[in-house]
Order: sequence, then C-alpha cells, then structure tokens
Amino acid sequence: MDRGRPIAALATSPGRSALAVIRCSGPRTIELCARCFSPGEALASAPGYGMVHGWLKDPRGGERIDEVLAAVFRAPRSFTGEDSVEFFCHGSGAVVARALAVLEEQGFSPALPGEFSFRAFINGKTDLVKAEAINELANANCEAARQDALDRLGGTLSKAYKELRDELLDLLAELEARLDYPADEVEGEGLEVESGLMAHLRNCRERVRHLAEGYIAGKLRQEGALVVVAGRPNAGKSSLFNLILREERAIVSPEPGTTRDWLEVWVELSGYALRLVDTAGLRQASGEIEAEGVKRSLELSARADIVLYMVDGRKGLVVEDEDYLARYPETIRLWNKTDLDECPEPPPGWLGLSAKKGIGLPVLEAAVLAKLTALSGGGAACEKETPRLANSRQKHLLDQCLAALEAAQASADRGLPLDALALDIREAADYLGQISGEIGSEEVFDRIFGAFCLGK
Amino acid sequence: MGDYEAIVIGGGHAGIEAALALARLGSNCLLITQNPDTIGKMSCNPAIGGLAKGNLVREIDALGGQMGILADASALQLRMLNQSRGAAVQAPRAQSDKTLYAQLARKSLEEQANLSILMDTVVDLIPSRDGRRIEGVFTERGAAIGAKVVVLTTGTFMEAKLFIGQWSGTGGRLGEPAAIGLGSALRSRGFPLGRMKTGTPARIAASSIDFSRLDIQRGEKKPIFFSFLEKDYRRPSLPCHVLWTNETTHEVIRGGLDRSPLFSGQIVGKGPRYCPSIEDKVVRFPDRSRHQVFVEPEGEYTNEVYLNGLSSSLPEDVQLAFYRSLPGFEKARIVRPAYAVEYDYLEASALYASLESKLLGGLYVAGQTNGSSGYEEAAAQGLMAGINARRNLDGLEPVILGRDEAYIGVLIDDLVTLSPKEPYRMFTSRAERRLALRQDSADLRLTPLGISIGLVSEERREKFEERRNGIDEIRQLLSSRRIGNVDIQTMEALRPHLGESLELALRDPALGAIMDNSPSVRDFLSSLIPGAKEYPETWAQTALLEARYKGYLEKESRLAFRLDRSERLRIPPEFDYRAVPGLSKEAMEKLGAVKPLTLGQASRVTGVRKSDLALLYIVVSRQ
Repeated sequence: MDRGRPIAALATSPGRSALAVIRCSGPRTIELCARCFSPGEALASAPGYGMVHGWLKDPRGGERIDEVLAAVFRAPRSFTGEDSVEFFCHGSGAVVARALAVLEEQGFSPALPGEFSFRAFINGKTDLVKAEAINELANANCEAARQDALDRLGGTLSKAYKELRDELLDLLAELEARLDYPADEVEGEGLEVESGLMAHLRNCRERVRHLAEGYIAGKLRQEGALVVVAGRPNAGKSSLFNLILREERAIVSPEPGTTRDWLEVWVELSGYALRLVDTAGLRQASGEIEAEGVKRSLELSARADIVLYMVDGRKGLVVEDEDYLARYPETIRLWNKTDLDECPEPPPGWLGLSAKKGIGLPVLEAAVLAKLTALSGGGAACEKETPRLANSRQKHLLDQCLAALEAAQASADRGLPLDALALDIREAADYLGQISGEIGSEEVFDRIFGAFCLGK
Repeated sequence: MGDYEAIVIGGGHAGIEAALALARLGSNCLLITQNPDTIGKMSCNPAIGGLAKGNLVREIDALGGQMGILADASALQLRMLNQSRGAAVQAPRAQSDKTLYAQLARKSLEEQANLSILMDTVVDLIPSRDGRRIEGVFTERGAAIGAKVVVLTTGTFMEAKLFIGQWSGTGGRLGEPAAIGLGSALRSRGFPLGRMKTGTPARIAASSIDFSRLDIQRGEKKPIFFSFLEKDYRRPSLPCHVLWTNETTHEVIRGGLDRSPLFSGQIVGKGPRYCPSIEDKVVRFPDRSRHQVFVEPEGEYTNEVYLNGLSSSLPEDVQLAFYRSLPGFEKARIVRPAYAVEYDYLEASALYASLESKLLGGLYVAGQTNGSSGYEEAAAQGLMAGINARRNLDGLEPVILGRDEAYIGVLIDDLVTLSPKEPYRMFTSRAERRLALRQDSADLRLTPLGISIGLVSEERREKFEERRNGIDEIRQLLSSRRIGNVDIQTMEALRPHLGESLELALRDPALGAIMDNSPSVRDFLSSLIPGAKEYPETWAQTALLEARYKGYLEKESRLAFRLDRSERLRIPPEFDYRAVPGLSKEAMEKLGAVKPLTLGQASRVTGVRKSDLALLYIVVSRQ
C-alpha cells in the first residue's frame, strides 16, 4: 500500500439509505476535496473537527451532484492520522457513484479493504489488535459481537496478549539463563531444578490454548451460529419457524433466498445472533429435484452449529428418523404436537412442544442457549474478563504459537538438549511477536538479571 | 619522529589483535602503550573463553587472530562448559597463567615484522585541515606522530578512577596510571563519551588458605584447544576450588555499605549486571543465604589466587573481614584489595559497523572503549578494526560479518546499534542463529574469509583444507551408511531407523544420548563405520553434530528468514529520517544518531516502534 497517495471510499454500506458517508484521507486531501465542493474556500479553510455545509460538484463544468455536509479533520487529529474529509451525502447509489468518480478524477485512489485502518496503524494511532477490532466492530451483526469488538478496541485483548507475552518472556529468561551460565556455575534460585522451567512452559501453553479457544466463542458471536431445523415432511418445522419469527422481534435481515429450497432468517437470542434455516423435509425422494433438496438438508445439518430435529409425536419414530439421529446424535430433539390428544408423552431426551399453539418455546430456547454456551467454551468464555478473539489472522498465529510450545514440550519429553528446546520457544515468541510486537533479546536480559542472581 | 601507515593506541587485548592484523596485512604499524611491560595483561579474572566468549575466541582464531594461540599456550586448566545442555551452547574455557599470557602476547608483537612498539601516552588526535580524516596523534611528551589510520583501544584507562571504600584515585588498573587528557580532548572534538564502571575481586595469598576445606574442580582430561591449529603445549593442569559465602559474610557486607562508593553515589558509571559486585548481590537478593565463589590460580609461579564472584569496592577492613568469614579463609591475607574502576567510553553508535568513526574518517575504535567488557569481546573488535583499517588504506570495502555468520557479527552489530549504556558482554542468547554458530564450526564459517582477507598463514590454510575435506568425507560416509538388521542386534536404539541412512538416524535424541555416553565421538562412529577410526576426534565431532542438529538448523534458518529479508533491505547512510512524516519523534532522533545500514539493524534500535519500521520499510523499498 502506497501511503503517498490520497484515498477515498464509501464508508457506509452500499444500497439505498438516508445517508451515505464518503471518507477521504491522505496528502492534499483537503485541497483536492475543496475543488469538488462549493463553496470550496469554506472547506479549504475549515478548522480541524469543523463541519461545512454546501454542495458536492464536478469541478469540470461546476455541475452540482448533491447537497452535503463535509467534516474536515486535520493531521494528526483524525482517525488515520492524516488530513481527512468525510462527505455526508444522500444515500443514493447514483450520488455515491458520481461523487467517487469525481474524486477519483481529482487524484484519489479507491481505498483497499482496511486501508484506512492500516494508515491509522502506520501512523501510530492504534495497535494492530485494535485496528483489527475496528473492522470487527464494523462487521458486528449482533449485540454480543458488538460488545466483544468494543472490548477488544478498549484493549482487553491487547492486555491478554500482553500477559501472555509476559509469561513467555519469563519462560525465555529462565531458559536463556540456563544456557548462558555454565551448568555447574549457576547459582540462581530454582535454576538447579528443571521443574520450574517445565512449569513455565505449561503455563504458557495453557494461556495460549485458553486464548485460542476463545476464538470459537468469538467467531460464534461475530458470525452468528447456524441453527438448522430438520425432520420428516409435516413434522411441523414450518410452524416452528413461523412461531420463532413471530415471537422474536429482532429479525436482523431476511436473506434473499427465494431460489433456494430452504428458508433462512437472522434472529437474536440472549445476545447471540442465530442464522435459522428451515430445510426440506427428509424422506425417500420421489423426484430428482426433491432428492437434491434432501441432499442439501443433510449437508446443512453437517455444517450446523446446532440442529433442531423435529418429529410428529403422533406418528412417533420411523426408520428415517433413527437414521438421521444416528448420524447427528448431538441434535436437540423436538416432540411436536403435544397439544393433540392422540399425541403420546415425549420419550426421555425429547422436548415436548406444540409449534402451532406456541407451547414449550421457552424450554426450547433454554436448550438452544445451553448448547451455545457449551460451544462457546462453557461459562468461562462468557465472562467478561476472558476476551474473545474473532480474527482469523490472530487465531492462526496463536495456533502456530501453541504448536511451537507443544513441540518444545515434545522435545523435552524426548530428551533433546536445551539449546534445541530453546529454538521452539523462540519460535513461539516470534509468532506471538507478530500479534503484539517483537520480543527483543534486551528484554529477556532484563528479566534474567532481575530474577536471578548470576555472574561468575 | 617518523610517520607510520597505522597507529594503534593501547596494548590490551584489542590493541594486540589490531596491531598484529595491520602488520600482518603489510602495514607499517606503531603500537603506542603507556607501558610495554603491561602488554596483554589480564586485568580481572585469570581465564579466557567461557560460554559465547569461547565461541568468539574460536572465531578470532579462524580468521587468523592471535588470542586462541595465546590461550592454548598459557593454559593452567581447560574445560568444555555446558556439555549437558547442548552442542550450540558448549564452549571451551581456560584458566590462564596471567604472567605467561602477557609475556607471550608481547613476544608475538615484538617478533612481528612491520610492527614497532613505543612507550608514550596519546593525549589528542590530529584531524586533517577539513576535519574529515585523521592524520595522526599527539602524545604526552609533545610528539606529533602521523598516520593514515588510527585504532583507538584505551580499555579502562581513559580518564580512569579507582575506588576502594572511601579512597579514590586516578588509575586504569591498581598501581598503573590512567590515560589523562585524551578523554577530554575527544569530548571537546564532539565525540559522545560516557562513564562506565567495572570491578575486580581481591587477590589472596594461597598459602593463607586452608584448601582442604574447599571442593575441588578439575580440568578435562581429553585435550581441548582454542586454536584450530591444535598444537599441544604440554601445559600443566591445576585445579580450581569452590566454596560458598554464608550469613556472616552477608552481615559484614551489610555493615560496610555506608562506606561503599557504589551506594554512596561516588561512582556514576553504570556497572555490568551480569557480573555484579558481592555487595550488589547481597543488596539485590536479600533472600539468598549464600553465593558461590570460585578460587582460581593466577599463575604457575605466583602465590596469588583470584576469588571469582567476590568483586567489591568496599573498604579494605570490610573486605578482610568478609573474606575471612569464608570457610578455610580464617587466616586469609589480602595481597591486592578488590576495587572498582570507572572510565570513559565512547558511545558506539558514533561508529559504523566497520568500527570506523562516523565523525573522523580513518579513526577506528575497539574494545572496552566501545562499551563492551571482557578480553574476548575486546580482541574480536580489535581484529576487525585492524582488518578494516587496512582495507581503508587499500580502498577496499570493509569486512562486516553478519549476525548469521559469527558471534563477532552479533557483537559489533549490537554495539553500534544498541550503543549499550552498561558494559556489554556476549551471551549465546544474543545470537538469532545460535545453533549455526557452534564453536566447533568457526573455521568452516570463517577461515575461507580469513584466507581471502590475507590473514591466514600457509600452515593454517593447509590444516584447514585437510580438516574440511575430512569432514566432507565423514558426511559422505554418514549419508551412504544404511541401518541394517545386523546393526539392530548390536544397538537396539537403531531399531526405529531400519533402512534409513545413519545421517538421518542421528537426529534421534536416543542416539545422541548413546553418543554422549561413549568415551569419544570417534568411538561411537567407528562402532558403526569401522573405517572412520582414522579421523581425528574433532572432525568426527563437527560432522556428527551437524547431522544431529540438521532438523533444528533448518528450523532456525526458517525462523531467521524474516530477519534476513529485512537485513537485506539496505538504507542509504545519507537517508534523512526527518523527511519521513509519520515517523515517531523518538525514532527520528534514535535512527538519525545510529544511521542503521539495513532495516534489520533499524529494527534493533531501542525506541523504534513497529509502526516506524512498517513506515520505513515502505519508504525505503520504494526508493
């Protein structure tokens, strides 16, 4: 990315809306924006954090594009740390397209994804973890995801990384002290025994594992959980679907899925975003199209975070049901139509409900929530103190860090010498360094001399 | 006074290597010392080598320097340290006969063609009319001596002060005058100077110690050499002794702290954390009930012994009381008291990685003057300063060793980049490529370079080529030797490696353990390859270690790859950091002072943030 050029991009989501915000940043931004603005002089001379009212215009011919508000930010007091201008236009696709075209003619390049955040990072406005949190905040589609991202932005994740880094530094210090002082001359307390070193290694692994596990929870909250409703035809799946739709006001966005053979909506349950999918009924398919539908239902069930499997209680279990449940034993089992007289009591492990009459919905919700909590790594991951990461880059690096620490453990178990072990631990530190900043050898020395009395 | 091509100021461990390198490369060279009788003196412990330092000595030797030969020829005991912790952190250490070491050092200078020695004290430098190059030096007795290049190696002598309790006086070593005048002259010429401190323990009369109460530590029976010439000087092997301080010792020390120059603020220079004085240890680690002490002989023909671990600057009466609190030391007599020395050092960020001054062309600085500590660190810099001073005369590019090539490379890069504020000592953990910088492979890494520089003698070159070819042959044998059923009968540990090459099987730590428990590596090897019996032990060692560490070496090299990439991205010396908007103010100042030559070096400058580097990367790579 070339920081020498000014960039511009639509900052709000495309499509019709009341307002659209176009963000511009980089060298000469204010001057270039003033050319496309009337009265240009007002924009050019606006103080930082100033708001100017006027018209966005095409400088060639002076044709007006839209009536706008322009917010002016002067370096370094802006999000990116550069001179920036934000145009608040009317939210029409035509206005935005024309405005961006005009800005481009003036020398603005279209911003690459994340480029504004990247510039903020380069200019020291934010650390990498926080920069990524900004992006996650922007993509949050439920309250829980928003909360998590905001926590990360506030630095809880940065803090967790810092603590992990501290732990790793202690481990390195203890190890390097052993390597840099002869075995028979070291007089540091505890250095005589190897168990201290192994305890440090274990602590580090636990911390990394703990953080990495938070990813599943974070991702679940960031991206939402896929909940699939399955069952044979006429088990009452659609009734359940409609019931949930009616009860839950917080429909986020009904996906355009008319061409598919399943229905899909976003609902929110106790802070979790759920992508609820109604599938085609499972039965021996008579036609090709239907067979395809059944196949997809099974595929969806395999990918789902949670499956709700429903039977008509009056009909009981048949071979298709048994097959399905044998394949997906982790499903929540629903015994429908308990309101009808001819429906027997649900067998053990089944939740009785009546989708039509709306009986048993709270029990179902509690069961779904319990599953979600279990998926998020139990109660611990839901506590506020445990930050959840939702970023795949960080997760990847944490996984590699963990693998290196596990390799170190394996080296130790196989009796490899300490100098080989140290390499694995240096590698772990390197991966962590890519998340939260380098670990320099001077810092390791500070720890060595602070903790151990060494020196012949 | 006649003029010279090169002048070396100082006859310590840096000066010796610098002068020999310059003269051996054909320069008409003058070494100026305050006293020729003190050339090559070991101011502190009577030992050469140790962890990481031993690697430095091996590298100096591989390039054609002198220290390894001197250490082998004056050894009183030789040991290979850290054998249980892995090959990469093993290193040789010698107890040395101090007097003999100094005599041999002086003899090597006196016998060297092109080299003269002069007793005088340099008080100022002579710059050229335009102030850009050095043209010679002024001495205390008023002489102006001309030279095209000058190597400055003042050790602990520049404006030096000694401290024992509340007494203090000028001096570079106890009983030897400081070099007065040069420090202030350099300051007034704009060189950035600071103060550092170091200390040394007392020397005790051996006849006053009851050694029967101390533990004995003996040297290795098998031969160990610093020099790849592997010449056997038939040296004696004297033991060291080990003991511990006790609560009484610590009581006495605490009682004397009010008269310690260290704690009263008389000493301003920063001391080394890795080699703290005993009063420092007692204060900083109050929970420890004892500290280890080593009793080391100072020489074959002296009664004095060195008390390693007990350096101090407490008053002499306190010293005597705490030494006498040690077991077997009840009647101890101090011959020389422990003392601290504070001296001027030059901030090494004022030097290029060639060790040439950024302020004055042709001026090279090496050794403790650059803020390092230790004989080995000094000698390594002296050698490189000497080599590069000669190359300057010849108009050649300087030799700058990489951090992945040699500990010497790590040492000099750290000095000129970090510009340490406390005496800098080499540690293996400072090297990113620790596994590749093993002491036994120093010749394979550096002797070819030494040959091309011109410092390697004919004898050394022949020996080197013989050894290198031998190691290649052993490698061939290892890779072509397959593990068969018969081998499993004799060595159960080979079972998982049936059908593999021996080279591959050696990565198994179970085999490593068997090798370590064999009387020698050669014995182990010839049990599998009878023909390998003819190879010398040290060749077999290097070849087998390489095979053993192959997997880890590859991993280390992958890990270092990121580093190498930024290492290859060069920053022009005239680069203007102030012209990079967005660079933090601190980074702008620090980078402007250090003038790193690569992005890798810039990344190691303290105070430079990751975002600064990202920015620099973009700006520099676009140029």
